Amino acid sequence: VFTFLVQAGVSCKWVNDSQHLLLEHFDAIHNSPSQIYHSILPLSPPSSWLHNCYTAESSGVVRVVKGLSDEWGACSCTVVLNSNPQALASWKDTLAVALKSHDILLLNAITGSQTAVLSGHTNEVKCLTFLPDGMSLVSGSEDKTLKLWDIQTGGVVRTFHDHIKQVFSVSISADCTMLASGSEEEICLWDIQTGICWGRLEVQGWVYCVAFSTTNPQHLISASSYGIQGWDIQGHKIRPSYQSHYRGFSSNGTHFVSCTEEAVTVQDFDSGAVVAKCLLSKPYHNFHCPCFSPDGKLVACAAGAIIYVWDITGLDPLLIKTFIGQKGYIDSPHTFSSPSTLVSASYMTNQSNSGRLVTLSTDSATGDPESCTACHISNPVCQPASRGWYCYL
Amino acid sequence: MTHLLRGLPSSHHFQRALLEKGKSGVDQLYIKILEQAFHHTHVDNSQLYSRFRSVVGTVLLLFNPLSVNGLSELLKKSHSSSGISSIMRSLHSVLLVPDNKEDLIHIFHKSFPDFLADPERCEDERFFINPSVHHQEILLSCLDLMKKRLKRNICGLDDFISLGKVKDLPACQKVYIGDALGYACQFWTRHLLEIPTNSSGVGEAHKAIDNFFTTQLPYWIEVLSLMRNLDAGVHAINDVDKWYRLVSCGVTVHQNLCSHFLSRQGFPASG
Repeated sequence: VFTFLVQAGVSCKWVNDSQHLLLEHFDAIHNSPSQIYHSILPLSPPSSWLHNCYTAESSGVVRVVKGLSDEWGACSCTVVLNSNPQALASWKDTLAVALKSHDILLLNAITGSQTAVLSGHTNEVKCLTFLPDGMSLVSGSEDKTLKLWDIQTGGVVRTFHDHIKQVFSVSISADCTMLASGSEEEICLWDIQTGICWGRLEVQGWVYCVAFSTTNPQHLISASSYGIQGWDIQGHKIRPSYQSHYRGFSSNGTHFVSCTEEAVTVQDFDSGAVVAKCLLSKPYHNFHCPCFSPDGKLVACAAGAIIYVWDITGLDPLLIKTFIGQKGYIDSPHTFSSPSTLVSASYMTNQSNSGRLVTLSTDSATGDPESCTACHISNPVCQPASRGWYCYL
Repeated sequence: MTHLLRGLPSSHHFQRALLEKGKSGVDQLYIKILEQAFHHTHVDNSQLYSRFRSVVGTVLLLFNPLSVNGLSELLKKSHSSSGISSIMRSLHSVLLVPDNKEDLIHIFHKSFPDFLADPERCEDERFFINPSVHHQEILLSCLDLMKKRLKRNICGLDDFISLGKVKDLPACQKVYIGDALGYACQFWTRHLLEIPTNSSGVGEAHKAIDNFFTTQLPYWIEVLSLMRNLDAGVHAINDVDKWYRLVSCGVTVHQNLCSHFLSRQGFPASG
């Protein structure tokens, strides 16, 4: 019995190392399998089982001089995109990414492989959301329309036409009958089945975010550059209402999270009561793009090129992860594809048309969360020069 | 149904088969076909029947069909190519066995595997196929084939070459990898998940998988990449993870029972 348990322990290490090997270097191996011996094995953590077991297989083309991390990175998957990512949404293992090229990519969130391309919008797509059954996706675009897509066929089921200006945000009511979409100075309410716009709410500013309550289907909340406002679907303003500098907003239907330069605040949807206020020891971080994990236990927020993750289940929010190393600007929102996997999109400013997605594990290698030492995000091996700490001989 | 009838000696037997009580028509038909195929063989020839179960079990439980040649390579350890061919020939009324040994074997109707794998319907032990036994057999055949065939740079490609630039990748796959090895690399973990974690063969499977991870892992990944199906690798590792968890859970329960028993006997349960 006991030898068996020990064996199982060893086996988990194999599984862990193999999974890291495959996911972190998926693109490189897919393009050129010989990279396994030239760069991937030499670059694996020196203390890992994989590194030690297959030392003899390293080709010796790459020799690591210094700086190799002792642990696998937190990044489990990197997807290189050929256009800037604009919006993200996830449903279980399916990830939808809207690109600057007007297309929407569907990816497998575990492997990063592309499963479909949804084409049809004539301008940039600014927001995406899955229906609760995961079979359909709603997108809102600068072309002033929203589209409902069938995930299986990749076809457009319905187009929603009545917006006068571009669409920034979209939300689906918990009972799946209504759609709310935010635009310049208005929110439209739609019947999903018929595609008819039956209500308009006048809002100050551009509505960057709109969200239905999951506890009360009559209530929704909007965030614009003028602040956060609660509504009922007849168009009456209700609590909560806040004047705040818009930095970012997200809601999971029972709570919403907003951020200012200094703090990330989680509040109850209906009462507006502050549930958690996440701060860092140094103020002024310029927080943006907050999001919830699907179970509502974690909140992630970007600040510059760093992503912070807090556990908000306790009395005080606890900073559990700091991810650094994401290249370029993290400007589009991130999303959790599972309770412990964060997907983050970024775009490069030096290469006019590229971006990438990384999936980050929030329960990977430990380290002092605020010191930024652990949790490096690895780059794909196919771009070796950008790593800067090994050389070709 | 005309395919099914081809294997029968006469319509007289067929009618009698259908009239027997307690069995549905199609079950009677399959029993008749099997008995007819083996009517020259003595009931006690257990070796031959075990060969039958092993070959037919493999054909029926594969997640993707193989050709006669592919099947021969996968089962090379335990079966000769001519042996497999003769078993296939005897079942031509229920299996589509193409003359060309490179073409895939198909089952005419899904009711045939359902019938053979159901002990209530297929009461004759000579023919009954126990899926968990045969999934384990296939798993070990896959691991054995990978152990024999996998090697670094199996296709002999130039170093550093990007697969997008390889002129005829499908031909390379066919010549250097082949159906059987390709199948083994992509599907071995699917068979692993079909093995009950309390079966007697778990130990043997464990040992073979240990060996696989410590000696063939990079070559296996290479083949999946060459087959343009690296996704299968990610899913396979998840499958292995799932199986290990199931197995170790089973063991943990066992261990708890042991310590419970020990403490009941007045011994302190040791951690």
